[in-house]
Amino acid sequence: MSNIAGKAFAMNLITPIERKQVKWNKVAFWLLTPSKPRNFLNWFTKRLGPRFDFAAKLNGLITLSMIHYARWVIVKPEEWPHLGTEQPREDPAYAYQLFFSNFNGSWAQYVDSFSAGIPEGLDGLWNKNVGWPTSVPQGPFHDYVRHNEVWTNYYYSAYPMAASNDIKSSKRLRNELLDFIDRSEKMGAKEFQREYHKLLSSLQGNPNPDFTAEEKFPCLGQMAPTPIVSLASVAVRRARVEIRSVEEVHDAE
Amino acid sequence: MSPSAESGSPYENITEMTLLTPIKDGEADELAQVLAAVQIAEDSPIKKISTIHYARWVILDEGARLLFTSNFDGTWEKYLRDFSEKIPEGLDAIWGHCVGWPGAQPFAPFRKWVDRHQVPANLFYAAYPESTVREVQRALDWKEKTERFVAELAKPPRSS
Amino acid sequence: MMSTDPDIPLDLHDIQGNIIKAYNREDYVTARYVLYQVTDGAKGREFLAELLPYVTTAAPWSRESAVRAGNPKPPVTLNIAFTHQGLEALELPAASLLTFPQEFVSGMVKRREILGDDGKSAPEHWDPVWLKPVHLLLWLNGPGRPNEHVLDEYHGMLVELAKKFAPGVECLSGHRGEDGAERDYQSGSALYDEDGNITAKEHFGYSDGISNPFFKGTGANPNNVIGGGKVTRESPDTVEGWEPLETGEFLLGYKDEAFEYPEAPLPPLLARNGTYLVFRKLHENVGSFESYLDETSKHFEGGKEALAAKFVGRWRNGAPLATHPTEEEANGLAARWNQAYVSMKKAEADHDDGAYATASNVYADVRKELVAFDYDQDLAGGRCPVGAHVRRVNPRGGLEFGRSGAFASRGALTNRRRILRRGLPYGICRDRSRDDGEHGNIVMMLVASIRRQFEFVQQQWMNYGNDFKLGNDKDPLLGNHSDDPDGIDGRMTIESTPGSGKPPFLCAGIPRFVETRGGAYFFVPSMTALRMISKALVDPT
Repeated sequence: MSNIAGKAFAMNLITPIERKQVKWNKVAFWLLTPSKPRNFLNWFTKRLGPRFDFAAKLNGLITLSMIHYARWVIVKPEEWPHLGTEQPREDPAYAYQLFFSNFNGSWAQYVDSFSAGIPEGLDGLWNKNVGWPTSVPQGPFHDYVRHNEVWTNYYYSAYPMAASNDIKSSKRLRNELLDFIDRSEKMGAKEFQREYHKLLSSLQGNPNPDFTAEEKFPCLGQMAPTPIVSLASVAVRRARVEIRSVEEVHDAE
Repeated sequence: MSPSAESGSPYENITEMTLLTPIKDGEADELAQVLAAVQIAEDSPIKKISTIHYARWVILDEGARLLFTSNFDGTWEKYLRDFSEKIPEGLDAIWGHCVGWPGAQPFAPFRKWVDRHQVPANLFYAAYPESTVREVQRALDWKEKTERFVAELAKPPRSS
Repeated sequence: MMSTDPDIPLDLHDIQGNIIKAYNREDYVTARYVLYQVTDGAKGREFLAELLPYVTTAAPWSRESAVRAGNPKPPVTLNIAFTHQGLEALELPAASLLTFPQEFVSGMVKRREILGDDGKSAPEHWDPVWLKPVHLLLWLNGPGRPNEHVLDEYHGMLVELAKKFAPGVECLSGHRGEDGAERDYQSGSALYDEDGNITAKEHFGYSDGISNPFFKGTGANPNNVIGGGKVTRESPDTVEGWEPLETGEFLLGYKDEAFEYPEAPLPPLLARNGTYLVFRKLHENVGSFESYLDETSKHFEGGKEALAAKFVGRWRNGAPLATHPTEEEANGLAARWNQAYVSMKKAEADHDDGAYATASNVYADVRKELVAFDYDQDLAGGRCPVGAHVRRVNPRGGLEFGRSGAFASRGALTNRRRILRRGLPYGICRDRSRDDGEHGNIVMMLVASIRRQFEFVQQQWMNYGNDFKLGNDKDPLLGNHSDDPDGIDGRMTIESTPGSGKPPFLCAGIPRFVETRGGAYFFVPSMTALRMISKALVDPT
């Protein structure tokens, strides 16, 4: 049982929502999902003021840059299947909103960054849920998340040592390098040096908002398997290695 | 549960799967043991599917049901075929504790079962939606090597 | 965001002095740090009761406040703090002990993996005293040359006083002294220049302690909010560009930046007006630092001083790179700053109130230049590198990455990570080509949450770089760079000015410049709480 895979943390949050509120959240989800009709609507509503600029609502999330993947699902009571006698009968009173996220950093870092950075965004997606305390102050918000969080039984990442930022910078670096390799074939030494310097200065990154994400992402930081997310997970890992080595000794005997 | 097998991912290259399946009465504890063992095993079945970015199994509602989510490259069909062909025993060991599990093979009933339990995400966010697992891993590899190369050039000569 | 009245005064008589006052700015430039173990709770409490009348509070001193009648300055200040084990030894009820936060209960040694205290910074290399059962920290601050003996005399009195309570209260020995001997106290002192003038320098040569958080209720000059408060969306060189931080970030019992009362022990009277103290003894490897700078700057445009400035984000004379990118500008500011300081001190010594008022206004104006900046005009780091020390520990509005409005406030990700810094250098560096010797910094950090403020900054911002999009690169100066050739390389990218066509300058193989030599987590109670503890009156029921 672990919520951690390398630099990634799995959060599962399951919160009840009144049936009659479900449609509002579904509309909000739809507004935030990139699609042609939504983009068209956005283009239109943006002119009504920043409140209606739905695409901009994701700015904070993108700037936080902690998430790999996240999803929201709403399940209504009648959508829980009953498949036969092997399964006990249930009578759910509410619909449920399920939120699953893969993020970097510790639980507190993640939860607090959202609460401090984009409180309105959080409220927009959860305030129809039963018992939602609003995302600020943090105490009741922490309690709500802890109360409704479910532990992960099995967690897998194909690239556990990479933070979302590591991936973004690696992708940009590879593209720039491929392009440079292409261009450099016909360069003389002087030109090569000049272009190489230009490449490096572009790879240093420039988080100017006028630049696209591709242009600005810094690429020169190194990548390594630190830091630890929690002392508990380190202790568990250590104990596990010990158990394994004991088992190996037994096997060898 | 919705009978459709649609993914809730709005992105072209990445598909999301969210399965909610009822656990057989009284088998949740055993299932938890299986998942714990798979988690710490050197070689978990999921590793054999090279198109999965992230995946998780979570036992919900005091053992009433099992959730599986994953983000993967390519089509639904291809992904399920990989599952059914490459790791049928692993899947049987886990989903065998769920009601109505037909077995990972043969393919048709397996797919039908999965389709039936998929709850497409209402909102799905991916930070780098155009990259496959292979591309991510290759990019990381390039970065590691380039960054080491650039640093090697920059290091002051060490007196030994 | 709504803010409460910034002028609501705190009860400064109830708050321990060093929380509000930076003693070294008040001419207390020498210090002794003494640790005790309590094996007999009753005696420990008596000892405490005996000390109470001498504890220095935050109440204004006559020179500080023209409005309020001030107290005379004491010859030597005294303050007291406890570890969790110390509170237990003083027999605080279990129900109260259980209400302290987990990291404080665990203590600094057990948090080593969070803090990156590994390799030569690992606790097994610390001064032995810090591995003993540390219960109580007393610290005395006194005058500098030529009156250092005053501190000595007061320390002597304290030693005599403590003897009355032994056995039961033992002064712990094992602070490493210069000769390698194990002493029963740690000393600290500001550094002097060749002419014998007091400086604000530490051993690497940087002016230290320039910027400290500004929060509500202290009665400090409201103009000091510039550079010390939290950033607003206005210009950083105006008062409108800043707001005072909420008191609850630095003192328990007040609302914090999340609009609630910080997590605090029970009963409320035990917590209110108290805070946590993170004590770190950090050795400075001056030899490694100088030789790395010498070698690396051979290829760096601007040379050694410029490279030293890029590491920290301030020139060694204190001028910030963000607003003073050339050495000439920096030297100009430093000269004016020094001049203003000298004039102010002279007027004070002459007891010339008129001249003092004028001089302190000039000083305040110059000080503003040292702190009134953010990084919005320097997003790419062409002036101040994104990974420079001061930009890491206080990113100001920088975590919005220029995307104005991305967060509810510009400093949303920074305002809850601010740290009040006190402390002094210790020792003298006798040979700048060597790492050994007994010299470094006594760093004292005051925070309402050790975990959220100190540990977070230490782990995520100094020993990691993800929040700045710098991968695993660490703080060049304070990061725990690996000695292990297979470990994480000590690395820093010094960005070039965008559009200049120049490549960034990459520093690699940075050795560990700073090593932890000791430390602990302490609770600094209010005067009320000290009295309650000394009389065994703490009852959380």
